[in-house]
Amino acid sequence: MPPMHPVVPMVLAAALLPLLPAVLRRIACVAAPVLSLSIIATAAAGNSWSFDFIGQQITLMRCDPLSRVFGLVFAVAAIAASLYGWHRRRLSEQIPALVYAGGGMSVVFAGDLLSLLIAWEAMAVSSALLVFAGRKPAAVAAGFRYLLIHLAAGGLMLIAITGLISAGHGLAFDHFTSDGWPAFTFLCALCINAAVPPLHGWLPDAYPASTVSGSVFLSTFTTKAAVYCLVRGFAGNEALIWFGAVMAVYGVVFATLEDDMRRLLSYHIVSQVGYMVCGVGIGTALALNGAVAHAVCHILYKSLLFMAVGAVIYSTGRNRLSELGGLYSRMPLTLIFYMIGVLSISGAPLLNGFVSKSLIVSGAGDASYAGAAFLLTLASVGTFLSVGLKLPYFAWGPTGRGRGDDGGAGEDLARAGEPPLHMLAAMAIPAALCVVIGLVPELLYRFLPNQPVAYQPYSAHHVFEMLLVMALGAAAFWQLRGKLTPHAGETLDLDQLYRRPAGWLANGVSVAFDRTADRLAGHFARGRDRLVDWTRDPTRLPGSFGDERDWFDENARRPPIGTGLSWMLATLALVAAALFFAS
Amino acid sequence: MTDRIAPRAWIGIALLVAAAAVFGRTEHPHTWWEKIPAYGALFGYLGTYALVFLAKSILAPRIRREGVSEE
Repeated sequence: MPPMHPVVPMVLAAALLPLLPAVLRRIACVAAPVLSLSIIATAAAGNSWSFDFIGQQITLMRCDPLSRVFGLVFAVAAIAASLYGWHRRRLSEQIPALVYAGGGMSVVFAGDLLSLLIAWEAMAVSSALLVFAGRKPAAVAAGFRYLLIHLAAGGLMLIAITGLISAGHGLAFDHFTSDGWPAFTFLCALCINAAVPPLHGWLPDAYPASTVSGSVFLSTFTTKAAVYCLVRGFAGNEALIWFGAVMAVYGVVFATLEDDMRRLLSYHIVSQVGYMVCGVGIGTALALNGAVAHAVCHILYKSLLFMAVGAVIYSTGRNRLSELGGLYSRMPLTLIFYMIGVLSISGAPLLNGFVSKSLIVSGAGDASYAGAAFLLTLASVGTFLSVGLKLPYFAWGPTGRGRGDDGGAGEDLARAGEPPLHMLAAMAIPAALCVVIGLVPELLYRFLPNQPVAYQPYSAHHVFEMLLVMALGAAAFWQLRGKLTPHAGETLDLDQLYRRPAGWLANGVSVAFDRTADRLAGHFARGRDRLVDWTRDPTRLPGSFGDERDWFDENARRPPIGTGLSWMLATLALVAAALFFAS
Repeated sequence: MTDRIAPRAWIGIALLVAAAAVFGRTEHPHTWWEKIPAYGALFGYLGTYALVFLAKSILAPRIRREGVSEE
């Protein structure tokens, strides 16, 4: 009997949720990923859940160091996110969250392209439902855009898989050695999910539209599953180096402009995934370990940041920096958790981001990609600027517009306070892991795919250089903070380039469809009426109809009874005469 | 228009620069700018100015619409 697949508890829980009372549903949402975590932690290396299908080998569970480390961090993130969303009551959010997390795990354990595609689509649909769970009109619109983009990515993946099978590659999901169009198409599908510009617009569009707990789930799985696939299939693809380095800077520049807190964090996902994509493109053992380590660390601190910002939104009902301020006295614990996340993402020493970023930047330097290393370091500065300084300064600091006269929370925010205990407990999980990995990097190293890992991030010089980057960044922020004051508004991104033409196209198709449907319906109605008239009065041939309801008289063509009898008697007489003469 | 930084903050920064100089590099520099003394300070300070300039002075007037949008 094969070992249990880690997705089974998630799927079972999702299937049983409608049958359970509210309290048990909450427990099931947390217990399922705990079970998955225990299964992944004890799973033996190798393939299982394999069978033949249309002459191809399907492997639902491939456990190797790469899939295990992603599976572990996915399960931990699912536990924390489920605990964070303990207050959720709606099945329409609980079930998609479990399916989404299960889909993410299915992707990283899929040993073939077909099961990868199915898991991919499960993720796409369930994550779109999480966006819809935001329920506001903007969430529904963003959810449809999100769904269209991700179904398009799934379609590209299907085309690529078909091409790979035709080319004799089979369904094995390993490093792609060929440069043909199927591999390129597959890479494009992955780049959509990894939010590589200019294909990234769906991310800052959809993630802020979900509920606060939905955003935590969304921040974890989709982009990192794509990074996993890039590591597995496209390590060493040089184009990814520059796409990754550029997207790292692109994300922080747009984050600097943002007023919406979750949109700001979403742009930072684009930026941080840029580090990973760059590491994958470099392709050396050090850089690949860095990409994987950064994915792990990023899942931890990014979910922590979304949780902390979600707690602010949950507590105040506001998501814009321009409407906040002075929360330091109202939400000090949330601020502490937020700062742990922020120092981690900024690469501060003693926290996990310092370790993983150093791995990638050193990998870029060692491989003589100085330009990429430069851009990644610049992105690190921008990360600290926008998410590390701007956001906490204007949300928690004593100067935001929502502050009162005493610098604390203003009257509108007077009822704001710490979030419920389950949210704080959920934040403690990734926060603790950020600190532990930062203090003891070897705990992370042992799970990385390329062993042994000899890299030592902590040298006095490196630590002080990083502190200098942050200290001088803070000094420059202090000087420029007037320019960075948030204003309500929206930022136009590259997605406008295809959203508007797509809107025109959709409207054009819709109008053409409506006109065609109207014409067809008119023809059908006229034909139906003619058929009815003809069956009522077959002597009226088509083309000679007037207004049928005026002229129709059921006795108009009916002869008198006497005439009918006369005709009948005459006919009988003729028949009798014919019979007489014939005999 | 920029805000002043308190003198004691500059003192702290100067101490960090000195510490970075005292604890010399133990690993091979990958790039030419890593050979600049206290390059982290330059990166942090000038990088922040460059990013704010790029975002607020170049991009914002072109791609930013003020006012909350209701989709």
